[in-house]
Amino acid sequence: MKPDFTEISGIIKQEISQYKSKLDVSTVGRVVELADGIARIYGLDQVMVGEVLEFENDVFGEAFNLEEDSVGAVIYGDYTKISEGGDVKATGRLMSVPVGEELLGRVVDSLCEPIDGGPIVQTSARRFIESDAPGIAQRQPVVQPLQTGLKCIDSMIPIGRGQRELIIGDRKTGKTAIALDTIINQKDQNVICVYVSVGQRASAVAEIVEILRKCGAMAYTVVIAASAADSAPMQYIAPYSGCALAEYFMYEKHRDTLCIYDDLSKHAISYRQLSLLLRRPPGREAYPGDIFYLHSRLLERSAKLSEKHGGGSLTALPIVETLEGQISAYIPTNVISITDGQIYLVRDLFHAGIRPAVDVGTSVSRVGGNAQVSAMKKVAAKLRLDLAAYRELQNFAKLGTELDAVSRAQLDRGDRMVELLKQPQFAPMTVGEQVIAIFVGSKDLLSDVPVSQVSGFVAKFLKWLLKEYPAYVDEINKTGAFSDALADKVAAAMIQYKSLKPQGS
Amino acid sequence: MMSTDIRLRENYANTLFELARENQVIDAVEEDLETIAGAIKEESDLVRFLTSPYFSGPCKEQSVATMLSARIIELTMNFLMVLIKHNRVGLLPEIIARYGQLWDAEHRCFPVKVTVSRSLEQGEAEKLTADMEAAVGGAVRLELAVEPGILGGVIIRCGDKVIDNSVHYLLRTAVKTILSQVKGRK
Repeated sequence: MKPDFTEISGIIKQEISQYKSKLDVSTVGRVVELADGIARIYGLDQVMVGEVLEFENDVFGEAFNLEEDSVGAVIYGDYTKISEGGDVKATGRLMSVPVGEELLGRVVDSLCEPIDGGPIVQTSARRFIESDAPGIAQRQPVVQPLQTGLKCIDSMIPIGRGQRELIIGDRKTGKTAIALDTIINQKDQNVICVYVSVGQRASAVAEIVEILRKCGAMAYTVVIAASAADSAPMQYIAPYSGCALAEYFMYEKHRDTLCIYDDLSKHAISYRQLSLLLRRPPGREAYPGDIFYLHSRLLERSAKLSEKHGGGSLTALPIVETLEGQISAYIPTNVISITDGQIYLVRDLFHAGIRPAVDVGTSVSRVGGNAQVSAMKKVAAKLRLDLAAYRELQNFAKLGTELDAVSRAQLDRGDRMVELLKQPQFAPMTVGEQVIAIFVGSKDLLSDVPVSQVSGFVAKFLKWLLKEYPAYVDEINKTGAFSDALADKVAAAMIQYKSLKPQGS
Repeated sequence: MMSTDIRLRENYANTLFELARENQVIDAVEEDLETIAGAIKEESDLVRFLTSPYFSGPCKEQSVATMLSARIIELTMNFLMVLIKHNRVGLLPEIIARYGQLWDAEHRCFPVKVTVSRSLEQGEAEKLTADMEAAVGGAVRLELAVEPGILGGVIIRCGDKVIDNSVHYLLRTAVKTILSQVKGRK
């Protein structure tokens, strides 16, 4: 990039004409201790908590601990450029990041500086990393659905715009896949997505960016990456930066936004490291006392704003990784209690080929039901109960008990429903398609299809239906309703389809 | 220096100062501490000897007494003995510096460090001191540093307040402003 020298002289002229001889008076302290991204500073009597500190060589930090005789600060950036005994300047500002449309499609670090090798971003706006959650008067109940494009989630664990839904499960159970599917499904839905990666492998983040780019999802997405190689302070602020970015679109542009925090267990670990280095007293599992507040203040910032405030929304999908399925561990229980429900992914289901491996019994959505479209409500109402009854019967059947005909029929139908709810990765479905798929399953229209072929059969049927009768799906997508007349038409179409082809193909 | 050291330094310096004030020997103690600071500067092994675990406490006390008893008052001597007993002689230079600050505050005397790019001419230093005294409203202990790297102008440091009006700083700020605007237009 070669600077244009005429422009530079123009800028200098402007600078000179506006130049006022102002004295730069600043308060300075001295670094007395420095290690692992933490500095202890002597002096700075007047410094405030959260104030941005300027170290030498343009490295910035934030005052965290105000102690009797020293200040504990975290350093954002390369702390090796700072030396013991160096000056620290108090800036009188709070930590903020650049925000704006210019960041869409970019991969940035925790301070919203691009790290994708692209051009430098110059945004017109900045936003404080930490800001208050909207109050009660500013909010309205969740009313509009946020479609994930996944049958099993949109039908049984619906998510509304402005909701906080936790995705929880062991490693390698498809947590990130659900989040990515949701981002991909927001195409043409007028939703801005922010994906915050905390403590992940850099290669995994690169892979995610590649997938999003391939699916055309980067156009409305910002990826904030604080990889495992970044310092604990950088990992700690990444979710707050992401939230600030999403908030900008919610408050200023009145848009719907989706923010994914992947994952908050690593975030808690980085905050634990930071707190222990700052010598804050450790509590349970060595986490500091304010570990709950760490996540509650982040997730409370999600909201559906009232129409008076523009009606924007911020939906949060935090991810938490469990160890050996222990959802009763410290961080999982904390986040479960903060969020409006959770999607629990189970390793056994995943290995049994049931993907997404959602455990329907443990997963809930506390507010999403109000936001579900009426068509989905109609077909999915019984689904949850049916599946619960199926799981219970399954346990019986395992004991080798002789079952009556009704129970056997129920088992058979359950098998088909489980099969029906399977969905490959990166293949989101519209509401219309989902409603019809679940409808044909629940109305016993698949009883003559072998269990192992249900998934493929329905997929092919939907493809055929979209070609022959596209109005059916369109009607549901547009009106959100699934009338009895339409249900009869779909049932008739199924009979027609079956007569066209040899069964099971 | 660890933060616990800061606290210890504060404790010892404050205690010594309070005792000196009670006995009305603030100035005498200050002079004594300067003498000790001079001795430490001259004999760099002194602190090492006093902090070394190879020598016993009484041995250290004996040597300090022989060396300094004629030159310092009793209070300062007792203070030194306590430091040796508590094995905190390593903090002595810091304690002396802190006592100096307390002494300055007591006498409303402000230590000011002025950094300039070239050595001052005859009369300039006096004028600078007078100006500073007028500005801070008290006596000023001027420490002058010459640093050609700042190119011109002056950096004044009084306590934890810094007024940076050097040419180097102004140029750096100007370059930053220009760079950020050029980047913005690309």
